[in-house]
Amino acid sequence: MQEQVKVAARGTTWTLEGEGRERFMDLNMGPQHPSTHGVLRLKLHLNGEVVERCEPVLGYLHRAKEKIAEKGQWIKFMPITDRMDYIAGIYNNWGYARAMEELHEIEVPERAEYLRVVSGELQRLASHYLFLGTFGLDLGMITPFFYSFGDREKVLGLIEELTGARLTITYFRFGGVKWDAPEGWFDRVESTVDELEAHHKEMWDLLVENDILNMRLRGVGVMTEEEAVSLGCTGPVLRATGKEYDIRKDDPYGVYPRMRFDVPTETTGDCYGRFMVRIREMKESFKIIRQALREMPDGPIIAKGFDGSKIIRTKPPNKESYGRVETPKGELGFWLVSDNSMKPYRVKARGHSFSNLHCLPLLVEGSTIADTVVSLASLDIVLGDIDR
Amino acid sequence: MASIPLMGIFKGMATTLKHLGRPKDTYEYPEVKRGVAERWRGRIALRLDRCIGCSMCAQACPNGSCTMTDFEHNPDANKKGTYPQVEVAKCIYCGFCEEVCPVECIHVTREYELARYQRGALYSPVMLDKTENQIRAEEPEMGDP
Amino acid sequence: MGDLEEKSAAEKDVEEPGRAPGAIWTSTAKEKEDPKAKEWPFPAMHYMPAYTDDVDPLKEAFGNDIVSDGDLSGKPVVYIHPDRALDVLSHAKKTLGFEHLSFVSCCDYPKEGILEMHWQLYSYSTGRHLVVKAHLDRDGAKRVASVTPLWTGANWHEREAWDLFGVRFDGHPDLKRIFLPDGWRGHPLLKDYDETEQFIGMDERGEDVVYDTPGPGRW
Repeated sequence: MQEQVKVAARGTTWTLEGEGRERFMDLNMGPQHPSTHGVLRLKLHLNGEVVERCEPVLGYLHRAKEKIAEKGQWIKFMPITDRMDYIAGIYNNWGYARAMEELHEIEVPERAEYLRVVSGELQRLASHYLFLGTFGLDLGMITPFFYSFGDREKVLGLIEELTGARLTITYFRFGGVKWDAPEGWFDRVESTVDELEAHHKEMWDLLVENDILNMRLRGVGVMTEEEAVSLGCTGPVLRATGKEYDIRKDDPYGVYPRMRFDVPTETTGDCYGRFMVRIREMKESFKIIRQALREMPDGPIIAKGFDGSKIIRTKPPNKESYGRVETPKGELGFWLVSDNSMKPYRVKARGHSFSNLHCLPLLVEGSTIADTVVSLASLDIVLGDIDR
Repeated sequence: MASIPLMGIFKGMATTLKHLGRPKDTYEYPEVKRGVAERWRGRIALRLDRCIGCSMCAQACPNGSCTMTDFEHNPDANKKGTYPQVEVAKCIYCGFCEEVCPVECIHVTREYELARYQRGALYSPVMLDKTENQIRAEEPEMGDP
Repeated sequence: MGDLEEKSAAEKDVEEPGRAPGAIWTSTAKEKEDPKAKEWPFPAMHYMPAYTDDVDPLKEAFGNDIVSDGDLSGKPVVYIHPDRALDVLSHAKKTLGFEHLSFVSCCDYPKEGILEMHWQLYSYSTGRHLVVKAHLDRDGAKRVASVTPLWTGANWHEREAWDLFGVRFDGHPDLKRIFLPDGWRGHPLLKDYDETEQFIGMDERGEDVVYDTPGPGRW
């Protein structure tokens, strides 16, 4: 007895031999599966080992942050944003601060923007180091995990010296940043960047030219540019399909118009492409940090009237704004609605991982379970950002 | 694919060998402690004599872990007789209270080992004036939980 | 030696036309400096008045369906009639080139009795933003057309809007709650949401069930 099964996303047809529907199986991957990086649950409908339907189930980490935002003053949402994408907390701060600065028309001092760039690119490095480590773990390699986490530790140490915390940073304020750099911090950043760059070359040798990794990743989880654009994917997931799009270049903010860097793209659109985009982006981050340290000006670090105890007195005009930044994982935007009061009327966060995860059914339907884990890891999602 | 088969594998092995002689990145935690930065935001503490009871810290607290309570300590400085109390288990360590305090009274310390035998995490103004070791010493012995 | 190896790594995927071999480690960014980039603050950074280049063709094409236009901190806004949402957005995507849908969401205005739909668009080719808004009757059926035929990625954003605001999207392939469990009472981001606690448990099949009181197996 033969049965024709249509795989939903690709339109391919599989022919099954055997009795009835015995080979079908529903499998719950998660919410406590280690490869889901958190509490993501995937409902997989399997045909043998082949995934026929994949349905991500969200909400296990839902904390109603957008409702929390409406309860307190504007600045009180700043520490809450740290907990959204907790791998790259600075960027959540930045997105919220940028939206607020457009809403309230705050002029940010130059030195504050440079400090933002340096700390932000350090955070981008930390996020990509975490990706490299956990990506290796998901593929079954444990060595890159140790090396990249060792390097990430150095980056987090620098961030800790600057901001006083390692993950939940709360460094940005409306119109500037909280702290100026401590004494000797710039020198330490420079020496650490040199060290990290040497390690990055080793990492490159270890991973990029590794035959096993190449064979494992090439051709897995392929997505075309049209599909990625239609799905609203951003960041490395979009750039891996060949679209050269980076908010830092195309809709620049802060001092990014002055920064000289490339936007790495790959044309393959598979897991290898996404991996390569990230590992090449780290190289650009080293460049940006060096340039920002060279050009670091003197001056105030926060706009007048927004420092000290005035942080909780922000009262923007009756307007709306949408501010977005390029995080290590894609576009993070905040839509703010103000009714000229001390509390937000509405805050909407447009999560990067939320949109990027949406392409997962497209990537995995028609492939095996083992490839599902790889595709999921290559998207580099953070559940704190998806569920909010 | 690499042009020479297995070249990538050998290079990877070389990288691994290089790492053999490098110093460790980890600490054996309870014996060796990694120091924290100067600006580390740990447990909230109070300089009790300075407090003027302005309640700015309670207003700036994002999740209501810092609230004001009635307490008599230093009537000259604090005429209202209200001092902050902090529910430390609820605190999210954002440091806003320190930032808005006009007299540098409430501040963050570098203490981060807050494990206790008792569940009560509501720190009264007097407890906030002490270090974590002092509080732990005054706590009744509970033995192993 | 390191340089040679990196070069060979770059040559492996040299099919990409724009990138020269070995370009990974060397900068291809423009080295010449823009004199304007030295000014501070940048003249073109914030607070520009919204451009109307994209609003005018929409007005021409749809006439009375464009209710009004506005400015969202430098991004043009058009207010449309909710029944024509799919047509206007389709025109914006296909003719005006707004390929990227950032998000779909709502904002609740109970005093005015409206629920404001918000589509945030961006054009990769021209680098412009466009915000499309439509006012739904807050106490009515709250129905609007789904834009999933235009952007597949709108699927989850619309499910989120249904979950948190209770907006029904006509033509959505699978409109169900995304964050909260099925059976949750109310839509939390509405301003008049009843914040009484609700408890989630699990039935024999592993599906979520909502209870009024906490109990064994519920949290």
